[in-house]
Amino acid sequence: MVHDEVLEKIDNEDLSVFAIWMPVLGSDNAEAAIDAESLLADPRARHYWDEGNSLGKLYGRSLKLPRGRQLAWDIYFVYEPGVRWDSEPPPPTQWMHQLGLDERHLDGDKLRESIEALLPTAKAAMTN
Amino acid sequence: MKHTVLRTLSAVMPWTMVFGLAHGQSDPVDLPATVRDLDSIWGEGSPSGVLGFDLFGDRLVTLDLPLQRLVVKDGQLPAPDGREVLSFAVVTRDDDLGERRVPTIEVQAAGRNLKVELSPLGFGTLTLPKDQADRFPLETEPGTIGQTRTPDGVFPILGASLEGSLVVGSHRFENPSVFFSEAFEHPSLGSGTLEPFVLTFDLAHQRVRVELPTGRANPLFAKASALRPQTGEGGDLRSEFNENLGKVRLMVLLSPT
Repeated sequence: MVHDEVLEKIDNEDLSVFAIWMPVLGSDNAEAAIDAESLLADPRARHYWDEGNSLGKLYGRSLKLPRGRQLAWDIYFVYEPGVRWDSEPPPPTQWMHQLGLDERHLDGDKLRESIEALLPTAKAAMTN
Repeated sequence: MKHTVLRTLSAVMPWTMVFGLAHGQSDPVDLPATVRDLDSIWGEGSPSGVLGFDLFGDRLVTLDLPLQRLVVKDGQLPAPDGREVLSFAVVTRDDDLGERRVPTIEVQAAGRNLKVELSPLGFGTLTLPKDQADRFPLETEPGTIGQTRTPDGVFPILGASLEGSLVVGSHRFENPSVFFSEAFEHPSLGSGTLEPFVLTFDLAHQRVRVELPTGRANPLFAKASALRPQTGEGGDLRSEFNENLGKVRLMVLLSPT
C-alpha cells in the first residue's frame, strides 16, 4: 500500500524513507528482509534489519499502541524537517499503524497528504 | 569479597534462574538436583538446567537486566525504604515447573495495593488473572492480542491500558499496558516493566533493590542507533536520519513476511 499509494505518488527528492525490517512472525529472518526490499523499492529508501526489534521496543514504550501492545511494528512514522535523533529516537510528527482499528489506522491517502503538507517546509529548512 | 559474574543469563523465571550452560563450561560442584525433562515444558532447545536462588545462600544476587548479567557477591542491602529497597515475601507455587518459591512485592496499580510476582523476563508489563479485569479502571476495552499455551490448553490474552499509574517503589509508570488471561493465575510484573532495571536480592533479609542504572547508555537505544543498511552503502540509522535533517522522513517498521 505504502509503495503504490505514497511513494509512487510523491515525486519529490525532499522525502527520505527508512524501512526497518524486523522479526515479528516466525517466518521473518534477515534473508526474508532482503527479499522484502522489493516491496518498498524506491531510490529514496534505505533498508535496515533490526534483529533484536530494538527500535520497535523503544517506540512500543513511548507510544500508546492499540490493545496495550508493547512492540511497535506495521507502523508508519513521519518526521517533519528539523527533527533530530539525539539521545533517543524522536517522537514522530505523525504516525499511523495497522495494529487495530482506531483513528490512527493506516490510510494511504492520509499518510500521503501528511507528507505532502510537510514538504514545503523541507525547502525552507534546507535554506536555513 | 567473593564476586562471581555469569554472562550467560538467558532467561529468568520467578525464583529460578535458567542458564544455557554448555557441557564442560563450568567447574563441577556437588549439588542436590532434581531431574526434569525441560524440553517437554519449554520445547526443544530449552536450557540445560534450572538453578534456584537458594543455591546462592545468603549472598546478594543481582540481575542486571539491561546488560543480561548475573552478579553474585557477599553483602547486605539496607533496610527497606519503600522507594529503592523493598521488602519481598516468598510464596510457594506448584505448577508445571514443580514446586517453587516465588518472590512477591507490593505495588500500586491505579491506587490499589497489589501483591505481584517478580518475573523479570516474563511476558508483559503487568499481567493479571482474567477475573481481576473488573478491579482496575482501564482506558480502553480489553482486546485480544494473542494467546498462550499451557498444559491445560490454549487461552487468549487480553490487553488494555490502565487508567492510572503503576507504582513500584519510587518508580512510576503512567497508563501502563495490562494483560489478562485465564492462564495467568497470579498478578505478575514482567519484562515490559522490569527490563530497564537492575534488581538486587538480599535473600537472607528478603529485601530487593529496584534501581535504574545511571551513566549507562540504554542498550536498546544503542542497538537501534547502530542499525546498518542491510544492503548497499550507508551509515548507521541515526547518522543517516540526521543527515537528512532538512527533509521529510518516512520511517516504517515492518515484518518482511
